[in-house]
Amino acid sequence: MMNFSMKKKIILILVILIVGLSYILVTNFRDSATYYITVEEFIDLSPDETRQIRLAGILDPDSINYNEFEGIYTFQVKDKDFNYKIDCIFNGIIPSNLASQEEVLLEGKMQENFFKVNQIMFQCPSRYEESL
Amino acid sequence: MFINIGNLLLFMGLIFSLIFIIINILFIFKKFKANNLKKYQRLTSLIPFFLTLIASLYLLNLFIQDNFQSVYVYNFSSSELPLYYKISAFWAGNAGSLLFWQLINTAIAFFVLGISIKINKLNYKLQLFIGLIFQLKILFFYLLLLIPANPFYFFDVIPPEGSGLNPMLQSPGMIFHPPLTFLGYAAAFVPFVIIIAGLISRINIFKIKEVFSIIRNWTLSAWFFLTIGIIIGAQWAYYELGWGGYWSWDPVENASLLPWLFLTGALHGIISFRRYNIFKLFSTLMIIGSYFLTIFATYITRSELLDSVHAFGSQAMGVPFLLFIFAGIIISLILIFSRRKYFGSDNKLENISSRNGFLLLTNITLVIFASAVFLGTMFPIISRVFIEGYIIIGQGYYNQIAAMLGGILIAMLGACYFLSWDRPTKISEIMIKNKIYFIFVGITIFFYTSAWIIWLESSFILLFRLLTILVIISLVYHLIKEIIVYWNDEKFSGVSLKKFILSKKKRISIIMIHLGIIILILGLTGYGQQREYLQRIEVGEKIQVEEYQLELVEIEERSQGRNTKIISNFNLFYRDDLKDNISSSHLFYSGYDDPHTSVGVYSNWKEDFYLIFGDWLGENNINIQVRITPLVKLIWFGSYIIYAGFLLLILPKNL
Repeated sequence: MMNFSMKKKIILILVILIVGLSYILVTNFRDSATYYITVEEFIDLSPDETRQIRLAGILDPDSINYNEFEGIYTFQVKDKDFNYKIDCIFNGIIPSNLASQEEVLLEGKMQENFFKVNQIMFQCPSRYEESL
Repeated sequence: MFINIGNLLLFMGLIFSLIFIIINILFIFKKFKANNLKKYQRLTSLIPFFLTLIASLYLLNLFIQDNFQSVYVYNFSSSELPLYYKISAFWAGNAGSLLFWQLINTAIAFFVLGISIKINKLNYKLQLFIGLIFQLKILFFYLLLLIPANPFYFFDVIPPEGSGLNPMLQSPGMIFHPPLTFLGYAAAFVPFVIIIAGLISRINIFKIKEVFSIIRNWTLSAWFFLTIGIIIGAQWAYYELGWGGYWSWDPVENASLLPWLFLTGALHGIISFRRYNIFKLFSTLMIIGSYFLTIFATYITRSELLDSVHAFGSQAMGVPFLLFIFAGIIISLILIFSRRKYFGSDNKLENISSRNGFLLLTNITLVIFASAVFLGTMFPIISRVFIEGYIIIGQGYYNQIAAMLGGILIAMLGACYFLSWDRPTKISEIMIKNKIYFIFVGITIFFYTSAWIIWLESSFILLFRLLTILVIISLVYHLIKEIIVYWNDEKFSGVSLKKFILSKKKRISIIMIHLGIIILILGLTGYGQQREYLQRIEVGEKIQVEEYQLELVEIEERSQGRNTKIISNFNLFYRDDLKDNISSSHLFYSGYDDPHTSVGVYSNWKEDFYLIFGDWLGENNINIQVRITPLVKLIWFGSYIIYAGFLLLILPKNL
């Protein structure tokens, strides 16, 4: 379809793009990779876990507490059977519709005995919620 | 209760499409007279459309009448909902949105098979197969609607009240975002079906000029609907709390970006094909790919594959969709391979430093972009194979890839307008021909870098922004050049501006669409400089946030029917000048425990001041979150230019 040097040029450009992209992939991997676990799995982690974690659990709405002096929230997440609970701290605004979300996703890191949350997420409403 | 008018209509639709498929096959085996096909196709495309329309009106009526005996209405509506949200609740759930989609499918099928004159002029065999594949798709949707996603279940007893529409869906975004996205997805089917029909019927569509004008128009429509759908979705996300930004690389968002990238590639491939008879295989693959990516997007949206930790394809929708995608891709590839002789061409791409060459590189970059996004989105599943637990790829990865590949794409777009279509162009030649532009480039770079040194900020964002600004200047330059050159042309002397624009509308509108996209991307760069503040504030207090002063005037409580709204009203000053009154509120819906928050936004060309009412701490005491994001207004401004460009493009020439 094309002459030889053309093909070479295109292949060269492709190689550069792919190498560049793989470089980004590898260097960003540690920063943007997050381990997605449940409350049960979190309990089994060692206390000096340093990885970025996304924790899926059920928020106990009665446990939400605001510490005025430090300006932080504390709350607990539980597993489905309410066997385990994890203490979380969060410095930010709790989304107003959080408490009614059955399952929340918390992103953060382990800090001593707490899970320090950076970001609170829940399933977006574009996802159809009925179970079929 | 399963037997009712709605299901009867769906069932009739199913039976009819089965019969039509059989008749279509009999046509293929020449059991019927060929000249009856047109009448037949008109009828067989009208009947499913008519039946689906009646079924949809029936469901709509259930919503309007507050018939909570219907499970679907009960799930998504309540008697207090304003009429427009009762109507938009139609597509709030899986089953209803699928019915709505089927309505669009059958409408498009009726348009293509029954009305479109262009298609009616095509080869008989081609039309036959287009009709057959359309009927198969309609059948597939009827099956989905009758079994796993039925909108017409009824309770035995009548509940007094519906459970209401999720407050987050009570937004103008809900009225426009889903229908436009569905339109985009449904329109992407038409180019696909024409190509597949051509391959099956052994008709080399690459030799029929009209076919590619139809394919191009439908690809363009799909692209445009998807573009507005995505932008309105982003706008919706931006003004809803809990989402924060306009784009967060969520799997559902990524899934809508993938077909968009492929459709963009397909459009550019088709240009070179129509002009130079090259990139046949590439355009074909992009069209087929974009269709399967719309199915993939649907699958991601409707299954729990990628969000919830341990719920793997637990939903009945998942399996048929996945099977459909796999089978479809394999069949398409086999078809392409067995008809490979159609893809050969006497014409070759002769030089990479031409517009055709750059279009090829653009398309390769788009595919790489899509692959990287796909890889990131699917990484939790891929990682599952190798390690215990899931690994999710965060926004950092996507942002880097988007910045790098986006930068390459923008630079190529900027260069493209200076290149000749098929001949190599020397840089010196370009510079001499376009002196004025390069003088502007020099001036811009000079001022920009001096400002840069003053800001003492060195970052990739600023470099990227410089690139977008240079390309914006280049596009404006070409727009002006286009006007000046033809204005001086004798042909146009004495011609009114309206007539002039109409005669040049294709070129002008395409430059406008590109311009809109680059301005939008320039707006996106502001995200990298977002600042976030958490503050506690009392009524009457004035706090300083960067160069803004924010004064909490009052917190008022208002009741709206059975709902209660708590509004915090602020005065916003910039360097002690009162700029605006903004308010953020919590709306407590009856029946929902938690309030729905609406945000206060003060927007100017430099940045957005985005205020979120947090918690009520004491009597007159609340905490708030402020986000300052530069250039957000440019995102919406760019999108309006895209819309305007598209409107100009579809305007009839002899207006």
